[in-house]
Amino acid sequence: MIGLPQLILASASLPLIGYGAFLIYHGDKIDGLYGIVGGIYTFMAVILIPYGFPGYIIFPGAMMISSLGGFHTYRITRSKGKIIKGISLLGITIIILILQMVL
Amino acid sequence: MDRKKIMAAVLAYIILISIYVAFFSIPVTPAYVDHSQYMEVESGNITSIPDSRYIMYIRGSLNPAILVIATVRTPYIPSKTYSSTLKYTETLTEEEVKKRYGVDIDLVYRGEKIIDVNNHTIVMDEYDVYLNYPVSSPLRPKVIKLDIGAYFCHEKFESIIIAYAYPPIYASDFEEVISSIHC
Repeated sequence: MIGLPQLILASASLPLIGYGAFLIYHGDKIDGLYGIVGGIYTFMAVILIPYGFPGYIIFPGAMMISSLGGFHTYRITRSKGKIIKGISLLGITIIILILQMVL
Repeated sequence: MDRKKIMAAVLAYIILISIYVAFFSIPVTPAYVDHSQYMEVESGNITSIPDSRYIMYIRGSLNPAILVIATVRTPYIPSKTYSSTLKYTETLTEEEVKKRYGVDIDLVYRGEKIIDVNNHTIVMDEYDVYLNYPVSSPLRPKVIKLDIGAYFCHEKFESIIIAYAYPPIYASDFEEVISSIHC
């Protein structure tokens, strides 16, 4: 049975899916698709926590997927904004993972 | 167009962070022990974000047993909060031992044990607590045990931290007490 804490945590997928849909609507299909995949991953991960999914990789995992979206779009469009997005999200992901391991 | 996308990204991540803050603010259902010999003597809040609370139980006698159970809102362990709550619980238990036995104490680490209780695996650190009596007390133990451990209650998205200090006469209570803890 899904409780309130799990429901709230699962709702963290909505802004990611919403942002992905926004990007697709405005023609940024690949990056948007990665955003939606990140949102679906977040939802599935939260649902699977009670069955042993390691909760500490939910947020970094979603960031990593968005970062891949930035790199993938950069390969196609050569847009500076996308490479900046990819590198900064990857950096944040690594920092969060390191902090969780150290602390 | 790019400005719109940047604004949308910032908004999405602000909402995401707000959801995490909301999650950590949800009040925990404090874990409790269901054992007739252990009476609740104290309870309180530790932090509000993440929400964390503790309950202290005593098995009253000349040589009391002390059980502190803390509950922390977490999506996982380990985390910084978990570590600090573990330290908080340990300190609370040590202070209660000093108060109840009226002595200074020395802790000696003895090892680690893993217990499976109620579908959860608890990893516990074992300590010997040396009680430094100012005068000889033949009716009181020289050493008591202190076991500290934690597990993730994945049904409720809460971490449960247990500190259990007990004299040798209550050593046989251990399994029964630990299995009577519910999250």
